[in-house]
Amino acid sequence: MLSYIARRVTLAIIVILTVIAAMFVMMHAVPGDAVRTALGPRASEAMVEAYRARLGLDQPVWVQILRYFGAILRGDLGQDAISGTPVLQVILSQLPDTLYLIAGAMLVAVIPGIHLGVVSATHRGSLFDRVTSVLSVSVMAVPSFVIAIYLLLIFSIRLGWFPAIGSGDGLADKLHRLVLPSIALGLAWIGYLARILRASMLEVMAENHVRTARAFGISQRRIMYDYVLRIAILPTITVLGMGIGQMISGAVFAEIVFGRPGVGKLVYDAIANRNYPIVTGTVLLTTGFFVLVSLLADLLIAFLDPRVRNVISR
Amino acid sequence: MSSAAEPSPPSRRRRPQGALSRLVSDPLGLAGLALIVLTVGAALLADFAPFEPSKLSPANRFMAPSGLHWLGTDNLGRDLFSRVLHGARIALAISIGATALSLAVGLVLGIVAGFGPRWLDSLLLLVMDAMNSIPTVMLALLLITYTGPSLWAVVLVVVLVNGPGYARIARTHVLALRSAEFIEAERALGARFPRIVFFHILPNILGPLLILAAMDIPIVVGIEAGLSFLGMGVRPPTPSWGTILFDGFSYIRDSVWMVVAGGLPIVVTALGFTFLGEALRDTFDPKLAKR
Amino acid sequence: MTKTATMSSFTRRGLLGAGLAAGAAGLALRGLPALAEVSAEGGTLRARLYADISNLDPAYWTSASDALVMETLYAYAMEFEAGTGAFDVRPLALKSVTVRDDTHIDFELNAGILYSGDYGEMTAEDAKFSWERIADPANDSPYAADWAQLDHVEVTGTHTGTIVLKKPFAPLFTSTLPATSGIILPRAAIEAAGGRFTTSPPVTSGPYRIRDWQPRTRLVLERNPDFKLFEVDFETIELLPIEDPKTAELGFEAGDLDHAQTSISSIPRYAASAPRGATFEEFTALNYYWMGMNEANEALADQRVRRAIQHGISREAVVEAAYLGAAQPAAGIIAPGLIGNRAENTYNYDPDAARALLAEAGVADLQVSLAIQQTAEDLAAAQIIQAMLADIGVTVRIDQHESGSFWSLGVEADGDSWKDLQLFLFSFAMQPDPSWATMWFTGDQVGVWNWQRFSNAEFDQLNADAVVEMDPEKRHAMYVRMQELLEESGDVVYLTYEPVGTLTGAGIASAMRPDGWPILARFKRG
Repeated sequence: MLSYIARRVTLAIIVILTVIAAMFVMMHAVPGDAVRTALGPRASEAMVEAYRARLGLDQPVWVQILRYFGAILRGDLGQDAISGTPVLQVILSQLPDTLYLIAGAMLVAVIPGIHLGVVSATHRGSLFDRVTSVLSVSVMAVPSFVIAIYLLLIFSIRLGWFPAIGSGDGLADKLHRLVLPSIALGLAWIGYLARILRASMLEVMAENHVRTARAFGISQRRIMYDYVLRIAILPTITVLGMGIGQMISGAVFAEIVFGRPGVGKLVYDAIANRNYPIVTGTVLLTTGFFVLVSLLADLLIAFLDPRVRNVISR
Repeated sequence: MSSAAEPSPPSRRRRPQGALSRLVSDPLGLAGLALIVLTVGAALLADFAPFEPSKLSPANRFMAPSGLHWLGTDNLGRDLFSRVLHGARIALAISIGATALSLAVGLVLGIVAGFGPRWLDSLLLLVMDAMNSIPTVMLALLLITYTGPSLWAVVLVVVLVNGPGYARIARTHVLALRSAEFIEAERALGARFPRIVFFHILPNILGPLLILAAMDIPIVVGIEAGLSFLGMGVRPPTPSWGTILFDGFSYIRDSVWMVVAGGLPIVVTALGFTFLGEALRDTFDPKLAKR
Repeated sequence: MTKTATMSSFTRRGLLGAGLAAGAAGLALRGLPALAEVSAEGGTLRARLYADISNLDPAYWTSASDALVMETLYAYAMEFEAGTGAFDVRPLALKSVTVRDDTHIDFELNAGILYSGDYGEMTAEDAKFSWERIADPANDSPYAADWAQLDHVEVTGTHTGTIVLKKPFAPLFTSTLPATSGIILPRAAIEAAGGRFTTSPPVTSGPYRIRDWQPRTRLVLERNPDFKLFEVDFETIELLPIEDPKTAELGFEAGDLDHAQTSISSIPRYAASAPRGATFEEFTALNYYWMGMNEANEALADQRVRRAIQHGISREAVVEAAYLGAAQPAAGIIAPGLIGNRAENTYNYDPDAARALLAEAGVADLQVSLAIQQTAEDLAAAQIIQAMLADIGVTVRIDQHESGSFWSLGVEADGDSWKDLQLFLFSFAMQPDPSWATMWFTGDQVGVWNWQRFSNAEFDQLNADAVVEMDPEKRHAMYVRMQELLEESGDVVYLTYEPVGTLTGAGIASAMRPDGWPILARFKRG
């Protein structure tokens, strides 16, 4: 077990370092940087050069990469190339709104997703199961930004039920503004979770001990919720872990469409402005987060279910 | 990773029948086929569109649907219906082309990883893991910053996003098959590598991969539209659905019809391919239940 | 419009009343138009900032958003009057300004202007420090040109001094003293901050001060009780960075903003009917929008080809389509209301002449690229240009760029892309002095911001002379001539001065410069 953890963690670190190095190489190859944006149009070439030197942009790319790795070890993600604010501070200032959004989307996804999955599995082949399955597939198929735009059009612009922009102040206002973006982001996941849960529940239900339990006359409901769901939820956890990474993708669109501040919008703007420290910082943190979550999910499963561990470490 | 716990629901064994008739007898498959026929029909009939898709007529901008303009007009007075028809071509060409390419790349990588030396396998896995761990949008944005927006850039993004998935599945199958008895036997008989790949490996893995690919087409349509929406897709005035949607979002306060015209075909195509993929999978490969 | 707004708020209240949205109860007011908001919020003005602040140092600020905020934080030496048709200025921190002769300007500061913190009262010594700080080449301020002719500032008393110039300098009263480069800050504060600062000013002196800044989310300003130069009405100003003007419109209509600049294409719609209770105003910005042609590019090297393109584009059609009828074609780069505004341009839409010129130049099947940014306006303009040039046999490929790559396209120091640059749509912002418009087209600027690579000795000479010319009429003639020379070269197609539309909520009186620039501290209630 320990060696498994060690191996996974090492792999995770290598993955992150590879991502960062690749990003530096790529950014280095792209013309333009944030210096002109930072200094404004009236800066002279000499000022631009001096500023570049101060940011270390005049160094060969491998030197920049090594310096960056060194800085990360010291916990320093560098400074915003335009405002000079520490990158970590900039990202942390944007993070809460994105986390609320993802949490909202999870909430939208998990509760209906799990119930639909359980009911579909217990009533396999029923009309409910068929309808759920078609609906699940449908919401999974439609890109979330299309859903976001339609929600905005119908509920904000036409009906005026929800505010169209911003993240709001105060709890009630924040929640009010979270509704549409969370639905846009979470809708697809209802279907996804329902499907996965249904499939893994059917698998567990087919196992011998469940049949035995049934034979002993333990109530169907108890078998389902106390036993089957508890095991069948495991793959769902992995998927949710991976899903958080994809939700960050979705958050970019949701934040643009609903004019919300957040990490997605931050990185989108930073890429457009060539604000590289922000880009690398955000990718580092989201990638790290993603790797960490999927690692935790795997470990959790491996811990709970040795049967799965064998599959993962294959 | 998705194979962490491959659930195999007790399969409803069916008697072998004609593939198509089995597909059509499944309402989901029928619906999928119908929607795809609609999209493909739109693409084929684009030449008979009532208007030239890029013909500007600023005086007629923001018109609501009418007998003349079935879906209304956009901010430059172009006929949205004609643009949607032509957009079907772009969407299908990009999604099918890019999927085929990712499939090819994934297959080659998967076979190389599965058959190659262990270090190469590990390296490929590492690279694919790294790719997978960057959120798709960020990967796409970074790449297109580098290449500049174009149709090919979209294809490249699709290959990078979807290719590793296919590679992984191909690799798993190759690893499983590699030690299978009949392949060991072939080897012992001195069969060469290409022969094994072409006659034994490919036929075994192509089927499931093709079904997965069909189900991935909506993702590709989504990537194309999403990138165009961010202004990083095809060049104007090419009538891509994403571009129409982006224009529609820009002018959402002036006219709702552009958003409707840009979004609906994306929904229709996505549903079509997903339904079809589901039905195909139920019909041919019940084991691939989850992905 | 009005009807829809009323209906939708009615429906919403109906819903909330029915208890359907229990969790959202109490939010009914939130969604209502600005009217209800202002009185409810007790003296808060909420306005749109089109980008977050990035640098508030008068010597190093970068964006118009910075300038907008700086206007509330510092007591400017002079200020623009609001609500007039011209760019009239009056002293603010300065009590009086006397032009002794063209190179000696005497000034007197108001007594008793207090800085924040322990920095005491504003003195002439501070003025000397601040102005010379920007002018000093050692400080590398991008705004050194604002004090280009400054020799030194002579301090004659606590509150009095003299600006001594090397040569007469016309922009002094139009874009130096009434703008950021006239801001006066105490030496001790700047030195304590290490010589420069970015988003946390070590000292302020203006009508407002920063209460709270959440990057990219909101900037909250509160009234500075020590500020006595004029009365302010709003206790706090909340600025929300919203880049996309369409988003800002949605925000305004949902009651999240009391003042916002609208998108250009929405101007006709709002002009026809403003949202309930709101005031819609239209201005012409100083920003000038044009299509440039890189004369160093092989395909465009022949002047006849560039002339053909000038003749091939109907500027009316481009401007109409891009701005949905909200703007008029421009004859140059210096906006109406300024010295040097040009009435007529020379080369207009004439497709036959265009085709003849191309034939004469021996060019057939010309293919060029048009570089644009990803804005709805650029996209629309580019597609119209594409269609019109197709009509004279020129195929245009539209290249969209995000801002980072766009702004380095023609810059020589950033790589070789300038060689491939052909046509491009450009929009520059400027200050209310014509010198700000022409300074980018000189020989020195070739490969920097002069992407046309336009180079003309007469232009350069005029550009230098016009800054030190004090006679307005002569200055006017010089700037008109410069715009003629630029157009004559074939390097530019003048498109428009960007129109500005602003929405202001009910119960608020805006205070606007003639170019649609809001002077936030002067906004009033009622």
